[in-house]
Amino acid sequence: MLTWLTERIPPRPVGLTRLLVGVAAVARAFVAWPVLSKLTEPETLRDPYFAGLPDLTMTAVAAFVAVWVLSGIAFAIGWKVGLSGPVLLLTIVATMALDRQAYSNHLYLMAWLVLLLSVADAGAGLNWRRLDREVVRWPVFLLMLQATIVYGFSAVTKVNDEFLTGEVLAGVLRGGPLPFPDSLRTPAFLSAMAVVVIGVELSIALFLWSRHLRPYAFLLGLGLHVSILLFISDTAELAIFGLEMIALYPLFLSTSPLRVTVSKPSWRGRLATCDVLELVDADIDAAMGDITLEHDGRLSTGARAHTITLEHLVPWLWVAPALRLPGVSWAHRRAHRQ
Amino acid sequence: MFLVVQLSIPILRFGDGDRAQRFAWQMFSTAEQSPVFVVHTQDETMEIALGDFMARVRADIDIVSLMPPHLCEVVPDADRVTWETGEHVC
Repeated sequence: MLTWLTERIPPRPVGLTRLLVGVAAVARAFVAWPVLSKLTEPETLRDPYFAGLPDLTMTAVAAFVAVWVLSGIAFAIGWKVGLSGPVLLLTIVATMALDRQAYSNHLYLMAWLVLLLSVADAGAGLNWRRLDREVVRWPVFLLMLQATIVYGFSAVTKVNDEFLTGEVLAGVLRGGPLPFPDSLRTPAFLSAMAVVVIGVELSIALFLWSRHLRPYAFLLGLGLHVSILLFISDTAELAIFGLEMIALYPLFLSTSPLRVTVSKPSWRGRLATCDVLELVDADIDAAMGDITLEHDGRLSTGARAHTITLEHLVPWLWVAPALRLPGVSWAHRRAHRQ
Repeated sequence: MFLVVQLSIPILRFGDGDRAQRFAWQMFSTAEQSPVFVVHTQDETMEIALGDFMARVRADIDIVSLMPPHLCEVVPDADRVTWETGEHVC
């Protein structure tokens, strides 16, 4: 186990996670701005963790948010992550420490992700210098555990009367870009939906760790976060939370090299610009037509090779698992034969 | 340390009180019903919009304990603050 945890692994998945968390952090700075600004107003309630903190001023808030945005951009592009990560982490922790009203679950999650990504040397992959170097596995493993912990506890804590009766869903399913149909706003439907939500969150938490069930975890996760965005208000904050969570998914992909042999090139140049893992070999970067794929010691051809390859490419990796669904898989195989 | 914090806090705070607990990944686990405060002065009665007096209205904040004394302090001539289940005399 210790040997496995201290192994060096390819850096691109963790680099992709860093990039997405960095983007989420920059966006979150603009959510923090009105909250921190409001805390400078004398009529606003203050609920600090520590007595004796100085009053905030607008100048301090502006400087604070500027540091947050700049460190977030540097972190996202992988510039001096050993410095930009801790600075970004400091701004996030300081925001939460200023006042209890500044807390958000997704901000707390962001603090952990930035900490672990900084420890993981996440600037080693997909960085602005386009120079990769391997990273140690254990912090990446903790990031993977983080995904399961968030989904797992989120599911378990929903097992209570208020949630299971549909009362919570009745309250939150309003104000989103899509109106939730009134005809479905019945206790029976909302109660059934509550059970499904718990089941989905638990499934994602567990399925991410199974090679065979992982594609379903990706699809369920994407479906969960997109439906939250569509039907619940506070879209910006929930979009940031969704981005943080799906940013963790690539870490679960197998990091063993994909070796692709091309017999009928098409989609010229696609793989060269979209690779996540080891798809940078010169002989691959030209094609996506008839391919033979060697991955994790198995040879695949046709539709299966196509599916596995897409599951390792940005941005397809989050939606490509849909190609494994029964009906879609049949249509995909048929299209490939033609 | 990561595992200790990430596992112990959510487990210890599981089922702890009526409100959602912070640091415990309890997103949307309970219904969030904010109290409605009414400030009474000698001349008038005003219903308070919490958003005017809070940076964020969060279910994990003890609004009932904090808000009445605060309203007494910032609303001129406030005599008392009432809400669905209680009253605070300034």
